[in-house]
Amino acid sequence: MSRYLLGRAAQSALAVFGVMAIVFVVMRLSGDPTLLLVPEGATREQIDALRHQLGFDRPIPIQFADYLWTLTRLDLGESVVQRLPVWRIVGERIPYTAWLAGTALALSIGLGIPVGIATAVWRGTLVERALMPLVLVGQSMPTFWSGILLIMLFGVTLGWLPTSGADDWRSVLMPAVALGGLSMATFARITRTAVIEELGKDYVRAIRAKGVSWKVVILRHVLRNGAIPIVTIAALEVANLLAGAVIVETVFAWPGMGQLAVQSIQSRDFLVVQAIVLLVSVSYVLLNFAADLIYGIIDPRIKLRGGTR
Amino acid sequence: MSNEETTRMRHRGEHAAATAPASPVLSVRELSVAIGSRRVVDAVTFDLAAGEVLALVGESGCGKSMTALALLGLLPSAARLEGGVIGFEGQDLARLPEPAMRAIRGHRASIVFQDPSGSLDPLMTIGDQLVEGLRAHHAISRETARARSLAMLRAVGISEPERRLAQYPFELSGGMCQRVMIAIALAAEPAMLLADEPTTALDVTIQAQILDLMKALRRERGTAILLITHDMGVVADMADRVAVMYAGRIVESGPVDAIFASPRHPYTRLLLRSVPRLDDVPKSEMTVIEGSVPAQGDWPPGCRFAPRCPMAEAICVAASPAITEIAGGRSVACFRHDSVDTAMALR
Amino acid sequence: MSRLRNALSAPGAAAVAPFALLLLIFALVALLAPWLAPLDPNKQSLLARLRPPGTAAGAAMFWLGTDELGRDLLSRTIHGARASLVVALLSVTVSGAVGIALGVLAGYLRGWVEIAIMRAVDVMLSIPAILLAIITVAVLGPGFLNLVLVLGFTRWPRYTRVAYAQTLGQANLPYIAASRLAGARTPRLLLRHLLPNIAAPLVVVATLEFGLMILFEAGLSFLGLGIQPPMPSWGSIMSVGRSYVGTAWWIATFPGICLFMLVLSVNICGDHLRDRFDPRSSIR
Repeated sequence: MSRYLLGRAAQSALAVFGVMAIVFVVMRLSGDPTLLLVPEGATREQIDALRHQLGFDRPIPIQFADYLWTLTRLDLGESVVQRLPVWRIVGERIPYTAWLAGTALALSIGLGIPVGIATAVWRGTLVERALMPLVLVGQSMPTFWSGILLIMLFGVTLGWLPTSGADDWRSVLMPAVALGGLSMATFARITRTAVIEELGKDYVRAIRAKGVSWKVVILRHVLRNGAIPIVTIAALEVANLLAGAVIVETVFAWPGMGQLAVQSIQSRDFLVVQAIVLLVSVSYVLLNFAADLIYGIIDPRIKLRGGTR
Repeated sequence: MSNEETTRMRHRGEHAAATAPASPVLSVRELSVAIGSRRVVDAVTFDLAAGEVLALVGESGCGKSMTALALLGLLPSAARLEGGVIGFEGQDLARLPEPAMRAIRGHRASIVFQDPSGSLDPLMTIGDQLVEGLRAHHAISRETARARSLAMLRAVGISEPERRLAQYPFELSGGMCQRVMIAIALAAEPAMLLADEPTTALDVTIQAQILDLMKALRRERGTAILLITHDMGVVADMADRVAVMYAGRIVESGPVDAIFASPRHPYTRLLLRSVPRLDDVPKSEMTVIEGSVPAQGDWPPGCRFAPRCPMAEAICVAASPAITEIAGGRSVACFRHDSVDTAMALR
Repeated sequence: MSRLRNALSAPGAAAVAPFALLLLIFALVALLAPWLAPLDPNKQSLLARLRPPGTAAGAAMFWLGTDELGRDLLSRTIHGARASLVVALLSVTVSGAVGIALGVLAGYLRGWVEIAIMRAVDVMLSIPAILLAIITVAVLGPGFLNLVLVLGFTRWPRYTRVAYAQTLGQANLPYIAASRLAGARTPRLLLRHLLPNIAAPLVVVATLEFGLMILFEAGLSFLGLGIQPPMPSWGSIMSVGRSYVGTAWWIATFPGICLFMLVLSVNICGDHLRDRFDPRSSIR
């Protein structure tokens, strides 16, 4: 197990490094990154002074080394626009995005997996024919449109839920539903495929031949065996949720990292944008690593042999 | 016949006579299974007496596996029972609701399948799977179930049973997995065991071991065994009686020795002839049955074997032969079974 | 190639046909937009601001109403189809070409080429796509061309993974060795022999990506980072619609319906193709 984990840890470290490198490269795509950070209407001297202050006049390799060094010290710099540490600015937004993404994930797993099981077990019946179109709709609906529709229905017309902000617990409902719609569809499809595949295997028949009920077969055996692709997708979906939050937070004026990212682009506060992208990407890598840990726990073949072959 | 063969026959006869009670454990009448509009098992009728081994023999596609699955209600979703009575312990399994069937499966009647490693949940230990089977039918504690599982593993001849309980299926060989499957099947002391090609996926040496194990267990516990196989050698080794299936129907049945000595159906005769023997003339041609088995459900009119039968006549295509009982507890479905000896050589 | 043909004529195609037709209609609308749109999509009219659907102003009939600058919503919606489809098509082409080329190279040449390319793929896939798109657009600036470049730049790994796996599977087959023996040089070998045989699953990926690119363009335009006004894009129109959701519901609704129907059709047709080729490949 430890050899497997070590391998995965090394890959994750490489991925984190790669993410930082890509962000570094992207920030310099326009040539002189100082021009991104400098406020409008600055003079030549002010630009040169800022460039020197931020170290953008040094050779690239030195810049990269320094960049990596400051990042590993978890120093995200100071926002030129707001004159506050970037950590402070981003930090107060993290709980809101976490709250939104967490609720959306819970919704999509809580609805998606049972729907996936139902459409797999009752394949070819009315249940499947009724549920699959819903799944398809969830997959095709752009989050900002479902968000706007929800606002129109529950916010404007019925007046049940607040249309923006994060004042009380009811505010998270519409954004979470809008955000989770696509993920729910994905979970439903993956679960359905995994369950159908497992149901076709010999061991299901053999376990039923022992006199075990369908309910136990599905819950205790099929789900566990089909869990690996579901866990893989769960990790991917969290990334999608964090990314989709950008749009949903804009639609619902939700004070999270996504809204901050868009606002920061508009206010040309690129250090904040860079920090958000780095934070989210690194969390994603860590989440994938956690998924690998979970595989090891679920599947004894990985634990004892280092693989499923 | 050699002395050896005579002795073996006498033992079998004694055994059969000693253990054959009045009513059979399993009584199948006119069982039919269909996939879509095609019948893959057609009006199959046979009995299984307590403690006896009945072999259901035929080529792939003849419907023998479907028959076994139909008995325990384990047909794949595309197939369904289309008629017939399955008499078992005073109930008709064909009409039993699912909860009652569940009580019987793994308890009064068990089944072992062809692929032993594929039949076990790869993510559960051997011990847990044994315990699951036991606790599905008896309200016993985990410790009791574990102890019983340990005893079963010993009974099927698995070495170091304590260690095996904690292992996973991928850590066991094919032969050991099949022993575990047999342990699971017999743990609840069923009256009947269905074995669907139990040794086909195993090495020849392991095959012999598994068959010996099944024979020993049958002797100790008196379990009736319905053995599905395509291998005549396995039939000769294990079975008391045999039923030959072709194209969804039973074409001949009776005691193994009698049928092997003097098959009355052309198909049985050809099947036996095609098994190579040590005393065959060297380099002689192997016997082949001309043509091929019709696709499931696409049965030809009249006798289904007629297109391939060397003895076929006009009546064979015009009408379907019914099962006729003949002397010695045998039956055969052939219009010309009287003339088989003269029309076809035994070898 | 025959697998593709089989997929198109398979049973179950009947249920998919109406959506394929819808897709075709969208494509035609996008192509013929300047002739189909009744009015000039960019003509502003301060007097005709925020009119509901079905109102008329003089000779002009606003079938879907007007937006916040008095522009005809129907005409803008029709032209918006162009933005969605053209951006999606171009970005799929760019990212597909780059991605497939890299994947085939990695799978065929092996060695350090393979390691370098596949590690790059892993890293690129570690950054959620929309964030990468956002930061790149932030740096390069918004607009049609930059949008296509950004989408092309961020999506190529999806194709590379599949092309790589497929090439690995094909590289040892006899026909490759046979072609090489017959004197085919590597580029020709890869293009004429290998590529057609791995085309099927790549077409599936391209279809999935096409639908995603439509959503991405709309999303980025919604955030103000994509197509810039006055050029019409369903995303940017809906962004305005969000502000007027209580008073002028039509601005967000009609482009939204079009977007939804377009993506739905792409998904259904893509699913059908995918089911025929490889029923197991529901994992992206």
